[in-house]
Amino acid sequence: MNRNSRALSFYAVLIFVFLHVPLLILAVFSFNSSKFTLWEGWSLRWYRAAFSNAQLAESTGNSLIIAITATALATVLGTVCAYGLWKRRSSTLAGSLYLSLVTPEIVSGVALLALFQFVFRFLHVQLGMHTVILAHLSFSLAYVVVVVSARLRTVDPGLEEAALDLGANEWGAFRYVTLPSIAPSIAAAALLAFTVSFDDYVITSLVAGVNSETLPMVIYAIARRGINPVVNAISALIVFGLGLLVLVSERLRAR
Amino acid sequence: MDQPVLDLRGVSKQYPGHLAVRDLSLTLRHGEFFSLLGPSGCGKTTTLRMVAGFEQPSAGEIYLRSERIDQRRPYQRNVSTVFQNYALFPHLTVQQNIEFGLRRQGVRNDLQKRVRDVLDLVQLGGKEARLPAQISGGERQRVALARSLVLAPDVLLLDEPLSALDPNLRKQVRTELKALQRNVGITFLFVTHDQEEALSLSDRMAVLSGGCLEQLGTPEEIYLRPSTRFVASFLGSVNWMDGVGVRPEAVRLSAQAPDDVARSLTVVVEQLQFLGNSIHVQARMEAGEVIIAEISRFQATYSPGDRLHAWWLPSDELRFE
Amino acid sequence: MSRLRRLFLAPSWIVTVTLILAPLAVVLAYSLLTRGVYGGVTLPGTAENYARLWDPLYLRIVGRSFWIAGVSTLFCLLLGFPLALFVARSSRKNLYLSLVMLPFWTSFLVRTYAWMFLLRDTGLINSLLQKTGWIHDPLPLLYNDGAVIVGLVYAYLPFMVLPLYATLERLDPNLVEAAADLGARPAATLARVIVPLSAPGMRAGIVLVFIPCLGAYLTPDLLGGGKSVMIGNLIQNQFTTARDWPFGSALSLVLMAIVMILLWLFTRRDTEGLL
Repeated sequence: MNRNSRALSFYAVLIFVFLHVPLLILAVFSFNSSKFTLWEGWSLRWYRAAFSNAQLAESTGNSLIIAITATALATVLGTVCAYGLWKRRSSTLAGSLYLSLVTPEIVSGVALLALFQFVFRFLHVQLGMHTVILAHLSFSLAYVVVVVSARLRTVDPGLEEAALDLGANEWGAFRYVTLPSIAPSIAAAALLAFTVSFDDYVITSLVAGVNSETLPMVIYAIARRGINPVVNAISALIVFGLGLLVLVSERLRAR
Repeated sequence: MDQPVLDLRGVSKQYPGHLAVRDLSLTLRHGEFFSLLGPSGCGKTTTLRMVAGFEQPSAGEIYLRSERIDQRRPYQRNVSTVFQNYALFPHLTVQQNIEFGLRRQGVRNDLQKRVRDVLDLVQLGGKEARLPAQISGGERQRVALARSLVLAPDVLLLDEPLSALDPNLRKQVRTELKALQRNVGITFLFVTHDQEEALSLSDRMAVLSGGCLEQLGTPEEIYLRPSTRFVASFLGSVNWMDGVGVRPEAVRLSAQAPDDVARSLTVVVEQLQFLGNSIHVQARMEAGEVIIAEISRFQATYSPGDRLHAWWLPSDELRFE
Repeated sequence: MSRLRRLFLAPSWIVTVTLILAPLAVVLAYSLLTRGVYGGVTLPGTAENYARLWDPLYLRIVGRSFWIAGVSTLFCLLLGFPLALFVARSSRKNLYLSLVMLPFWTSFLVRTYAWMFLLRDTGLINSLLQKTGWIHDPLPLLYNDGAVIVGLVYAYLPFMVLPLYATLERLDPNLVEAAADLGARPAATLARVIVPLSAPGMRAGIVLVFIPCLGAYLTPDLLGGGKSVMIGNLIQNQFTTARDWPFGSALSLVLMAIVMILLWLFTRRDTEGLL
């Protein structure tokens, strides 16, 4: 049942164009054989440049390691936390997670940097991959808790009671009754955490230290210096890759 | 066979600011259909949950076949619950729902046979592969029953199992449930707020109010010889006149004055309510109070304004201190 | 039983206390200390950092941040409301909703870079306009407040559309019918029934857009060059090149305070929480 007027539909088309065309243009121009903005024919030279760049390769590797580790930790801890909150509300914990969500990224970043530098006075450790992973864990946790909590709210608590009644213990009730219900949401939360972690620039750049560059940091450095079609190529790849992940995540969440 | 299978001794449940169950003691005999009847908030569901293990009594003990169970977890008790909303696992088929308890016990060999037998018992053969969302409300209730019965519990706990059904279906399911219980021979502890259900189904019943036991007995005892005003009013209706109660069906009417009756009243008919199988005659006494008499539609036809005589047998009077 | 529950929440408590609350506590402490000789912090404690905020230079930056965030939020509201209405009334809601959200999930950095590509002097827009003869010299589209606003609106429009859509979708269609029944034309129904009833969605959308815009760092950095300094850039600067951590901490806490106040103002009427 579509109640939209012609004018409104036309407007919607315009806005969708506004939202998607910049990215499409970026992708199209990644195939531009010229370094300048004038179109001069199709070419894969920028993709070849991207793939043969050692710095890009290493930073992508770092980004993947960080994202996978942080995502794994955040997903496990976040699911357990959401389950615990579902059984017994804790407004202090929920409030702190909410605080993490609403804190501007720049504030989270400098706060974590301040904490790490303070702690490192006593620990003789430097900033590096481990601090980035911890930082990513800190902001991903809230996302996972939100997604899994939303799903748990639709689960009838009586079902776990029925499981106990029929002879399952507490772990069995979770494993055979609740977990199957929330498994798609857990997967969706993990994909969300991965996407957010992989893409992060602000917090990462503050706590990464010298030897652990991530892909966003490299892209930022190149982009800061001006337009470089290699960035177009990388951007197209990222958009395609992350976009795919997100589509999968949405499908899972809707199940 | 007359051994008490379930024994509640002085069981109480205190919530912050609210005493839900007050010093309740009752015993269930093996193989009987026992109902807990009372209005909402009387503590009947809380009592059921304490027997099942979802709540801990604040005081008192619960014994199942002479073993004390009130401190045990639900999965350590040989009782099974049929929940009000059935609580069927939505991601499992009918077959898998019924198997659930058996699998937790590690049963492998007899599994298929036991499930098939119980499906036949509740007349659900053929629906094993369906999901709960794909079957009707009445069928879901039968799956819930089957799921609990297949475990052969010492007591089956039923929490208002008929309240979610259509009124038409309720009467039919009631009969089937009674027959099922007779057939299987398992003790049923049935919780309801519907007095007609309790009266028609139970071998014995307990009436609860405000967490206290008002009366315990057979349906006949409770209906015909209620021990408190509350029980009298809660089951069926009562005409109260000067502290004496008379049920509408015990009030007799006639146009002429009855002979050999010690006392009769003169009343004027105000309103008639046709209820299908009976008629409620609402009449006003000389003193001004209203009295309701229930007569069958075959007895007589009255009209508003008629002057009648109303009387009843002394043995039909309900008196309380 | 509740020991088990406590076990479930314990790891998250550890993460929350060490990685969410402790950092903020450190920042609070630093904001009251003095800048060290080589950067970092030393005693004595002082409130001077907060006093420095009243310098017109910094007030201008705060003012610009509010201005940019405010304008961006307004544009998001004006552009997003009709779009949310469209999706709420369409028959393929999930499809259009995915279309709205998809760019958001790809990469913030990439989407900001896309506008650099479009807006700069040798960028696509200027090249096209020059080639087709509309202009002779390139327009200075990049490195100003306007570019930052465009970038922010582009980035956060979905954040406005989602809550608006959620509220509009739940709107009782009987209300619209009742308005028509009582003689209201579509424009009047829109203005007097639909818009007022979408207030909760608008409040949520404003909060979800204004707050990130206020604390924006990347967008003013890339699209504004050095010309559009916002609070976020100022804070970042204190912790890197300027090496004045106490001042940066004070700025951070002030930003947090503003965010908290805005949240309280806008969400106190709405009871449903996220967690």
